[in-house]
Amino acid sequence: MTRALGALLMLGLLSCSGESGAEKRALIWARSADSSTLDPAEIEWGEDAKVIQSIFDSLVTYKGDTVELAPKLAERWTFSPDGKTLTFDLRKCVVFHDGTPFDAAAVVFTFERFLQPNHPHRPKTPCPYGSTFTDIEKVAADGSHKVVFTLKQPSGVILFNLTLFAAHIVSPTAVKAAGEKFPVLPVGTGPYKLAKWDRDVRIVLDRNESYWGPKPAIERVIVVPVKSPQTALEKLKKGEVHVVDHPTLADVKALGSDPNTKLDTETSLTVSYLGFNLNRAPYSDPNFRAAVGLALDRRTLNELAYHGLAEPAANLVPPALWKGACPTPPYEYDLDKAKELLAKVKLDSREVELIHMTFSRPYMPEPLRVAEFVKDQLQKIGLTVKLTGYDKAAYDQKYKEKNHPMYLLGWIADIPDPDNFFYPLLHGDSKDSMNASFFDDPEFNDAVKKAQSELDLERRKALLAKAYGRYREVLPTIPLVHVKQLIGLSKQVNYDMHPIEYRFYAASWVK
Amino acid sequence: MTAYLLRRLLFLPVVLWAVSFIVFVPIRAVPGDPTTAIVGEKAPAELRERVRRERGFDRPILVQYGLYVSKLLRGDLGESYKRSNEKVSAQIGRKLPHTIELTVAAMAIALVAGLALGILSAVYKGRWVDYLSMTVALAGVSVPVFWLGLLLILAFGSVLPISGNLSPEHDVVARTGFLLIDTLLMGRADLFADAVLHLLMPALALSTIPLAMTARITRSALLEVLGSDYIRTARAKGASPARIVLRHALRNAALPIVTLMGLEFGYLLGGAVLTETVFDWDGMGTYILTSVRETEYESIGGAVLVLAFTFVVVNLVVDILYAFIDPRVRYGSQEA
Repeated sequence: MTRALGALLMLGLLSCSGESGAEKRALIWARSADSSTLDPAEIEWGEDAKVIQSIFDSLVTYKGDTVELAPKLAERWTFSPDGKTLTFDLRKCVVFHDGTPFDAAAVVFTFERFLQPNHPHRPKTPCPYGSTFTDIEKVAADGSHKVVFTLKQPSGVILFNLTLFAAHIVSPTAVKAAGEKFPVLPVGTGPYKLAKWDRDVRIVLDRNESYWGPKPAIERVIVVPVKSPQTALEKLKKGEVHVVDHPTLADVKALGSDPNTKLDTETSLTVSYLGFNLNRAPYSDPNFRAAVGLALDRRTLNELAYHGLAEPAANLVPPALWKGACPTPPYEYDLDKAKELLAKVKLDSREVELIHMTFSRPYMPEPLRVAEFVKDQLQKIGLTVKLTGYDKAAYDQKYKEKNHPMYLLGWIADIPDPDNFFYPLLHGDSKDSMNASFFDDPEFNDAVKKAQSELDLERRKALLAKAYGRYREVLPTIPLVHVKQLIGLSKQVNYDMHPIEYRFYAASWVK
Repeated sequence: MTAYLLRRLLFLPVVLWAVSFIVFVPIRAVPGDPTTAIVGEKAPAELRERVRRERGFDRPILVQYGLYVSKLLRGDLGESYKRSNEKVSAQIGRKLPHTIELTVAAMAIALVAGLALGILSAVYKGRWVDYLSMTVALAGVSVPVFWLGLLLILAFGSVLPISGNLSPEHDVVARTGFLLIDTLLMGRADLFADAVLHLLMPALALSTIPLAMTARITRSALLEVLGSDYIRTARAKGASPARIVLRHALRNAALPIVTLMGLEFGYLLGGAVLTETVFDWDGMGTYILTSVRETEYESIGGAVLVLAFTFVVVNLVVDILYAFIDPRVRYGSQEA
């Protein structure tokens, strides 16, 4: 028995060390779940976007590890004086993985495919991000390498939106040939191409040797789902994987003391917040909301529920975005003032309610701890908080019923622009989706809408600052923290995280 | 015998229908639906409503059930909402062989070790071997599988793979879906070894409960048989103790053991959720768990139906085995 196990171990070790034949040295990247689709138009969540951004290219990207815009498949762009026409000059001599030349027709095909409801090659799953592009009236080719976007109104966020995964350019030939199979047979122009997808087990990406830009340093990347973060970290320490992109806040500190691993952090564009249903008393009373805001010590929250790996939030928009656009005084923590304000509130009972999710989200990995923290803090100003937790489907249903009390929620921005926080979370148009406070303030709505179509940066900043000022007056939600992005790495690997994009192609072996 | 088998087979559709109803109705009666899983939490309200309408989530539960059954009758288990409309049958086709591999390995460990412990315990009744064996059996039943899994990882994690079915670097040509068979068919001993190493810890963790039950049942069945007249006769004729136990006693004690193994096999196929989760084993257990989390109605229904079908078939096979083990068993005849 011992001999047999020994022989198996030897064979297993030989195979792990890559001596078994022509298998390439691969970077093994562990994450929480497998992709559900590899068709950019179908994507709605982060795990899918991760892989997409290495197989496909967008017209516009971000410079280095900043959130400044930079050209990608487009070499340059110009707005017409009225801001309603956006023209891109496309990069030449680029080919898709299937050999199809990249040109203006491919860009037109990509956008028409998810913008036109009756397009013959529209994906079967609805395009969750389709509504992000409804400002686009028409996309037309002007020659082989020039594309003109006609907009319904000027847009200050269109270029950012064009970095989104849904706007990654697909090969028209491959879409037509694969039909409904395109989500599992994706073809783009990106630095990696799909070699194999064993669903729920692994995605194998091989370097695109004909890539138009700098070629990735690593020949092969294998992306594997390892659901349990603890298991993933054990595998990282053992060398079974090289990257873990979903370590838990509670476990990462051990990485620093392990001789084979290291921890990297990066700003993330997230926020967690406590919200109020403005249609229900006492949450509708501004003094009540202000009192709650003053009673929450975010620094302690950071230590207790985020293991010190977040930034206490004063603003809904993370500090990395547009510094100065939304002038933010530090948040106030003043229990005496909170009690004074609470005394002005007509309360039928000292018992209030807070609902929270029971499932982990990147902006709130341990929601029960956050809820318990709020309960404890509000007790200090004389409020008894009744906590109720819900799973994902039930939490969603709770909002639909529109009768919830205080709630905990958060947001992961898609683009690095304050509008991506203000519009979906607070604008009157979003009351049936993420605006669970039902905040619908004409002054705020107007400033946000105007900022959306303002191209002049300074005027735009002024409008957003005005909207933010109104938000601070009304306080429909109270920002809690901005949690950092974490990644566990083998010491054999170098990788620079980006605040928004996932770039497998940015990884390299330590020499 | 034939009439009995036919009766059992005719009963199968009734069982499957009952399972489909029991699984379908409570899941859909829970508040919420898979719309968020399909379009995401950021999708606008009109898109959510459209999807809800198109997929029929807004219709009465019994109407939804009727539509589901009509699909089942056409042999269609449905499709995943979230995973690019992949067919549930294709997903189960990938997962089931992995779970069968794990279950068979666990049952093999349970059978060998459980029989050995049970026999030792019966033969040395009342002595320290008996107490030790039964303590091991009690521990096997009592220790939670997820905890044992974590202990195994701590103990053997440095030499055995911690999770997964195979090292991700390896390309396996899927001919049968069973990794052990496919790697052998490829003629790659290193890949086969890798698959076996991945199988060891989860199989060991999964085997504890059937091992313990087998040991206890074997002990009690053997004790009963060892007191029989024919065993005394065999002893008087000078048969060796080993021959008496293995040749004469064990065969007559086999009926309850086979019954138990059949039942346990069925339970393990569907009940390996914890073990599969701890070891990130890509099988039916993790599939059901993910489907429940993502409110994948048709995946849950399909998986449970397939497992119910397997359970019934395994029990049928056990019934047939009875006749081979004990010629006195005659289904449906007067002498039975």
